[in-house]
Amino acid sequence: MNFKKYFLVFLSAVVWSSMSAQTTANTAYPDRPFLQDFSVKHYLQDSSVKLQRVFTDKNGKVRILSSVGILQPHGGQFQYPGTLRTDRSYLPMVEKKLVDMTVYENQFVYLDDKAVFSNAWAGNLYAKHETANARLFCAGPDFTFLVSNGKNLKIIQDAKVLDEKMLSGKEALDIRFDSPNNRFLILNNQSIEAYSLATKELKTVFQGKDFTCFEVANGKIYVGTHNGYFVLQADSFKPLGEIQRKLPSTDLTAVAVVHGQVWFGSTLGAFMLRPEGGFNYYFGERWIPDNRVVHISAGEDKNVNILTTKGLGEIHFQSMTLYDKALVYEKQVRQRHIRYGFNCDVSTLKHGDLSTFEMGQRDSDNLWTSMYLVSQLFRYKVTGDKEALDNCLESFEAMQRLFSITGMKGYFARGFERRGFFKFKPERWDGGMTNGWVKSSNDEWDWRGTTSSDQTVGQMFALTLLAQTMEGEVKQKAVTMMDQLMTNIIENDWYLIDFDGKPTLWGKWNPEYVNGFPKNVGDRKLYASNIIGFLQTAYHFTKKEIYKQKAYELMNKHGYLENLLRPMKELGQVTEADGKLAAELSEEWNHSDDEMYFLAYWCLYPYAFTPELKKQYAAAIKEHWNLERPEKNGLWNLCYAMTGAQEFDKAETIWFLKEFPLDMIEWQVINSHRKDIEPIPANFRGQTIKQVLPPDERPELKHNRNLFKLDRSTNGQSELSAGDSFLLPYWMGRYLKVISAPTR
Amino acid sequence: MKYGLFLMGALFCSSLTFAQKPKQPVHKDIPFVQDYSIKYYFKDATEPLKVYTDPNGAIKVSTKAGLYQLYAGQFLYPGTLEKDVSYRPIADKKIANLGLYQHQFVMIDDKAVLSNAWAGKLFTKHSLSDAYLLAGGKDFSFLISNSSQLEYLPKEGTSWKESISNGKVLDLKYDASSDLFYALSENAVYSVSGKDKKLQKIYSANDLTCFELFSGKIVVGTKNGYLELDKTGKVVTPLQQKLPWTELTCIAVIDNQLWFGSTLGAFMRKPDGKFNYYASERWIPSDKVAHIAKGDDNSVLILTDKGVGKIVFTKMTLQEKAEFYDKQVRTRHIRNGFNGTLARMKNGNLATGTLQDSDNDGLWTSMYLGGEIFRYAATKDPKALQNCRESLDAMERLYTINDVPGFPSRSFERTGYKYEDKPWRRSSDPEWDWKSTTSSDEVIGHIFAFGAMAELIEDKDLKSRSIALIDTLMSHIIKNDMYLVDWDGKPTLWGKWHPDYVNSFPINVGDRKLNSSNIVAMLQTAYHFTKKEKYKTKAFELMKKHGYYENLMRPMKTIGQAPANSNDWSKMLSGDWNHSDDEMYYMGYWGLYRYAFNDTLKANYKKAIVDHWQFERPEKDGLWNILTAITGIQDFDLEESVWFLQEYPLDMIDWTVKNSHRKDIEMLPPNFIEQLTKEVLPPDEVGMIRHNNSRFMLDRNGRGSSELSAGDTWLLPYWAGRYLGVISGPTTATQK
Repeated sequence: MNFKKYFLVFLSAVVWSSMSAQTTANTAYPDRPFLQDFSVKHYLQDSSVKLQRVFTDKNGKVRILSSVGILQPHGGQFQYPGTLRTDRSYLPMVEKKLVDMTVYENQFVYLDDKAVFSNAWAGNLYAKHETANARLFCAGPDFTFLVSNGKNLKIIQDAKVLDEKMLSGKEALDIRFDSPNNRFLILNNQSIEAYSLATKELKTVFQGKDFTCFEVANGKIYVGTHNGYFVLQADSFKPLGEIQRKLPSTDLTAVAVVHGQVWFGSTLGAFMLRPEGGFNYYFGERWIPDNRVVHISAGEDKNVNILTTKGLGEIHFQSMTLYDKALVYEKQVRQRHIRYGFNCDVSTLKHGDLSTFEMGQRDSDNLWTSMYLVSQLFRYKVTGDKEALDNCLESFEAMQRLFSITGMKGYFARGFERRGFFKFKPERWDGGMTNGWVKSSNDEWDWRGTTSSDQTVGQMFALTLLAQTMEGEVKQKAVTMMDQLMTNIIENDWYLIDFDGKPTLWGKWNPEYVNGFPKNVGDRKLYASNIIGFLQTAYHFTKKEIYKQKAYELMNKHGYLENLLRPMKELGQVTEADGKLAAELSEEWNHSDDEMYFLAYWCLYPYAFTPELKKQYAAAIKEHWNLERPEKNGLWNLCYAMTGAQEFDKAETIWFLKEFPLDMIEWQVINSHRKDIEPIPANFRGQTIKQVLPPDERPELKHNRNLFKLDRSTNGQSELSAGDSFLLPYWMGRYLKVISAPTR
Repeated sequence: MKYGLFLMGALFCSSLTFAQKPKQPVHKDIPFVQDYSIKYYFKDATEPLKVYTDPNGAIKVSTKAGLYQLYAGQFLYPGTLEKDVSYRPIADKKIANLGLYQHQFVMIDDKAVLSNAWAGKLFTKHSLSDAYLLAGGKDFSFLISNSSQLEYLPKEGTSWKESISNGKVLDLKYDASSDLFYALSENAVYSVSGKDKKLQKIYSANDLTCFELFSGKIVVGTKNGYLELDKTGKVVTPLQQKLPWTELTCIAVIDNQLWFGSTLGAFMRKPDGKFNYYASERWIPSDKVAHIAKGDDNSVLILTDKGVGKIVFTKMTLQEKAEFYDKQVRTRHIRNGFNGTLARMKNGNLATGTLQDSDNDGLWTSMYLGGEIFRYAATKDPKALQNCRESLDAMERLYTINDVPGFPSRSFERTGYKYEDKPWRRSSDPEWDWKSTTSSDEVIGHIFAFGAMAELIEDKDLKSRSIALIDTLMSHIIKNDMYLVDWDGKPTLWGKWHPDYVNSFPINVGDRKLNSSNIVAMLQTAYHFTKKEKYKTKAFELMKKHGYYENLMRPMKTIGQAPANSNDWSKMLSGDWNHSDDEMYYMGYWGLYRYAFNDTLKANYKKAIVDHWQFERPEKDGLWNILTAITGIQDFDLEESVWFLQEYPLDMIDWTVKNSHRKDIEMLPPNFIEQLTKEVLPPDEVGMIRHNNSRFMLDRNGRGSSELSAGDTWLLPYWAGRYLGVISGPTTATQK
C-alpha cells in the first residue's frame, strides 16, 4: 500500500524532474529573516497645531512637541491609523510653555520659557536659563546645556550660567553637541558656529548658503540645504566630497543619523541613504501622514519616527521571512479580496479607510482568480496545508460557475453579480452593449459576457495547473472544462461566441484575424503563442487527436509557429497605414500581453508536442524574458525559470518579493521629481528610467501594469489584492524550489 | 510512605549543614492560557442579533439595522463597529440576520436564504414575512422563522410551513445526528423533521429564552437558570441556578465548552462545573449579552447591546506576562520616578489619564522598587538596575526636598498644584512642593526596599545610598524618641512607635502587634547594614522592657475588635480587619526575618509570620504567600500563588465590577476578617485593587476612571518568587 503511494510520488517526481531537470540543479534561495518595513501612522486631529519634534525614550514612550504642548500617539496599528492626543499624564506639563525638547541619556528633557528640565532623575534636573524667548537647546556632557533664543547662547549647568555669547547675527536654526571635539555646533542658514567648552570660544567655522538642518555623527557633519546636502569632517570642517543633489527630493528639512543610518526629511518625503549608495524613499501615505517632514528620530527597537506636518509616521523594521510575509498577505486577501470565491484584485476604499472597503465585479475576474488559485495550488503542493486547498477549491468553484452561469457549453462569463446591481444602461464597452451584462436564466443573477482572450488565458492557466498537479475529481473536472472550452473554440472556427451570437472583441484566434495584423504587431505573435499552448495542453490531458491536428494546422498551414517564434524585438510601433486597430493596439508596449504570454507559457512549454518544438519555444521564451529583465518582475523571472533556465535573475526576484510593500493600499505616489533616478528617452516599452524603482516606492504593483510608471495622483481609493501580485510569484518560487522553506 | 521519606530527607539535610534549607517547591514557568479582551463599540444604538466568524477570520455582526464589521481595535484601544459595505449588492439588501452553515456566512433577507460562499450559488427563496431566524440542515436545507411561523426550505422542491402558538419563536438549531431541527419558543421546545414535515412539541415550560445542542443533550436557558433535556424532551438535568447570573439570553458551545450569555455578563462552564465570568468593560462593552460565538485565532466573540468583546486566549509564560506589565509601568505609571496610578481617566480611555500623586507614593514605589531589585538579583538585567536607580532617585529625593533631617516626604510635585492642600508644603527649591504628614506605611516600605537593595544590589553607589537612607531615617526616629516628627515639630498621626502609644492599645487591637513587629524589623535592618549599636540596643529595649517581643509574637487569632471599655481610637482602628496592616506586616517581615539578631529570634519570628499567613490563606494573595516563603517553609500555597499571578488581568483599568448578585458563590456570615464568600474569586473577576484591600470585595464602582500600576500589585510578587527560586525562569518562549 504505502509502497504504491511512494512509487507514485517517485514516478511523478521523475516526470516532473525530467520536465524541468535543470530547475532542481538551481540552489534555492534560503529564506532567512530580513527586515521588512511598514508604517504605523498617527494623525493630528486639529490642523492648526504645529508639530515640532518627536522623540522616543528608553521605555519606548513616544512623545511629540507641538505648539499646544506634548502629544502622544493613541491607538494606531498597521493600516489602522491612530491619532495624536494631548498627553495629560503629567498635569504640571500641560501648563508649561514648552519650546523645545530632546533626549539625553535616553530620557526626555524639555526647554520652556524658564528652564531646562526633565521628569526623569526624580525631577532633579531643573536648570533656569533666564533667557528671554529661548527656543532652542542642546545637551552637552554632565548635564551641561546650551540654550539659545536664536541670537545669543548661554551655557548652563545645574543652576549656574557658565558662559554667555552673542551669535554672529543670523538666526540659529539648530544646535548639536560634537562630543569627540567637546564643542557645540550652531547652525544658521549660512554658517556653522562652534562653541568650545574647553576654551569657551565661539567662532564661525563654515560658511555657505541656504542651510536648513544638520546632524553630527561618526566624526561627520551632515548639512542639509534647500538644494541638497553635503558632509564635513567634524574635526576639521573640511568638506568630504561635493554637495549631493542626486536625491529623491532636494529641499531638505531634517537630517538625522538613526540606528546607524543617515535619514533625510524634505518638503517631499523622507529618505534613507543606503549603505551601498542610493536611497530608500518614503513618500506619501503609504508611509507618512504628509510629505512635509518636520523631524526624524530613533524610535523603539529598530523603528524610525518621521514627524510630518500632519502627524507621525512610525516606520517599523520587523524581522520576517518571505514565508511570514506571505502569511500577512494571505490574511489580507482572505479578509478583503474574496468575492464569491473570486480574487477581487482591486477593492475600493475611501481615503485608505479599510472600514469602507467594497468589492465588485472586475473586468478580469477570471485572470486574477486563476493567478490566486494557482498560488494556493502551489502552496498546497509545497506545504500540504488544507487551508490552501480549501482556498484553491473555493476559487475553482467560482471559476466553474463562470461556465455554468452562461448556459452555453464551453463558454464562460467575465463575471457575475446578483441581479439588480447593474443597471443595463445601453453603454458600449469592449465591443458589446450594456458593458456586456446579460440576465441569467437564474432570475437572481446577471452575468457578463464580452469574455476576452485574457480571461481565456486565466482559465487555461488554472485548468492546466489543476490538471497537472491534482488527482481524482478535481483533475477530472479541470480536464472536462478544458476540453469543453477548447471544443467550443474549435467548433466556432477559433472564435469565442458571446450570448449575442457574435464573436467577442478579443476572443479571436482565427487565422484571418491573427494574420490580419502586420508582423510587427504583438497580437499576431501573442494569439499564436496562446492558442498553441492551449491546444497542446488539451491534447496532453484528453489525448484527443483533433487538438494536435488543429495545432499543427495552425502552426504549419497558417504560420502560427513562425508567429509565436518571432523575436520580440521585431515588434514595435505601427502606423495608421497598417490599419486602425493595429495602430491602436501597438501604440505602446502592452503589459497585459506580457501577462498573457507568461502565464500561457505554462501551457506552451511543458506540453510541447516534440523535443524540437520545446527547444524552439524555450528560445522564444528566453528572448521575451530578456526584454523584460529591466522590470525585475519576479513573476516573469519565475515563469521563465519554469523552463529550467539556470539564469533567471533569482537575486532580482528575491529583491522584488522583499521590496513588495505590506500596505497594498494604492496611496498617492510621485517619483517624477526625483533627482536620484536616471530618465531615459521616450521609448516603445514605456521604460521611463534606467533602473526600475523598488515595488514599495512605485505606484504600480500589478503584473499587467507598467512597472516603470513613476506617478499616481489618486490617493487611497483602492487596495490591491496580493493574491495575484505577490502570492503567485512567491508560491511559484516555492513550487519551483528556487525559494526554500523558511529557515530561522 | 511518601510523608515518611520526605521527613527523613529533611532531617538528614538539616543534620548535614545548618544553612541548607529544605527544598521548597518550584513552579516551572510553562506557557499558560492568558485571556484578554479587544472591544469594539457601536457608534449608534442598535439592536444586535448575531456575531459570527468565517474560515477567513472575517467577523460580521447582524443587527436590526443590517450587517456590521469590526474595525481597528486593539487591546486597551477599543475599535468600532462599522457598516459592512464589502458586497454592495448585500449592503443594498434588507439583511435580517446572519448564520453559519458549513462554517460559511449565510444570510436571510425578506426573500431568501443566501450566501456569498459557494460562488454565490445558495439562494433559496422563502415565503415568511419578517423572517429573521435560520438554521441550516442536511444538503443545504434550511429551517427559518419569523417568530410565529416556521418554514422548512429544502434545497430543491417545495417548502413546508407551520405556525407556532406557544409564544414567540426565539431560536432554531439543527442536529445532524438525528437529521432533526429544533425550535425554541418562549414556552416550548419542538423537534422539526423537514423530510417528514413533522412538528412535535417535546417540552413545555415558561420563560424559556435560549437553547443549544451539546453532547447529545438540549441545554435550555430560561429567565432563571438552565436545564438539560435529552433529545426526546425528557429533563435529564434539573434547573441549574448556581450561576453567575440566571437570566440567560444565549448559550453557545465553543471548543466543547458551554458558554452562557445573560443580562449580567457572559460565563463559561469549566470542566469542574464552576464558571469563568466575563462581565464589566474589562471584558465586554456592556453586560447585556445578545450572542456568543467562536472568533478567529482562538478567540470567543461576545456580542452585547453596546458592541463586541473579543476574548482572546493566548499562550504566554509568567515571564512574558512580566514583560507586558513592565511596559505598562514604564510607559504609563512612572511619575518623577515614582510608581503611580494613572487617574482622572474618562471611561478607561488611556489618552485621558493623568498620573496622580498619592499619600503612599513612597510605599507603592518601594514595592515596585523591591520587585525590580528582585528582578535584577534573579536576572542581572541592566534594565532592571536602571529602573532601580530611577526609583531610588525619587525615594532619596523624598528626604532632600524637605529640610527636616531624616524625615521622608510623602511625595513631591512641581509647585503650584497643591496650594489648597494643607499637608503640602513649599520646598526651599521654589519649583517644588512636598507633602508632609508621612505615615508608618511609608516608613516600613522604605526600609523594606532600602534593605533589599543594600543586600541584593552590588552596585556600590546604590548600595551605599540605600544604607545611608536607612541610617538617616532610623536615626531620625531614635533621636525623636521613636516618633516620626514633621516640619512642625510634632509627630505625624501614624509615625508612632513609642511604647506610650503602642502599648496604649488593648492587646487585641492590631496596631499594638503591628507597630511592634515593624519597629523591630526596622531596627534590625538598620543594625544589620550599619552595625550601629544604638539600633540593636533600642530594639532589645523595646522587645524586652516594653513587651514588643510579646506584642509581635501575639497570635493573630487574639486580634479582633477592641473591647467595649477601650478608647475610641482603639475602636476606630479595630472596627474590622485592616488589609493595609497586612501589607505593612509583610513589608516588615523582610527585615524581621532576614536580619533577625539571632537564630532563636529568627525561628520564633518564623512562627509569627506563618501564624499570620494562616489567616491570609483564603485570600490567595500571591504576595503574602511568596513573602511567607522567605522563611523557607515548604507549604506556602505555591499553587494558589501561581493561580493568582496567572489569573491577574492584563487590563488593569479600574472598571466598575459587580459580583454580589452571583448565585454561584457561597456567602459566609459576617466576620471580622471580612471574608464574604467561602472561596475567593479570581483577580480577573473582581475589582482592580492593590494588596492593601480585601480580595473578597465583590463589587467596585471604578467607572474606568484610573489604571493601576502592575509595579506593586503584580511585579513584586512575581519577581520575589523568581528571586526566591520558587518560580522558575521561562521554560520556553511562546511562539508569537
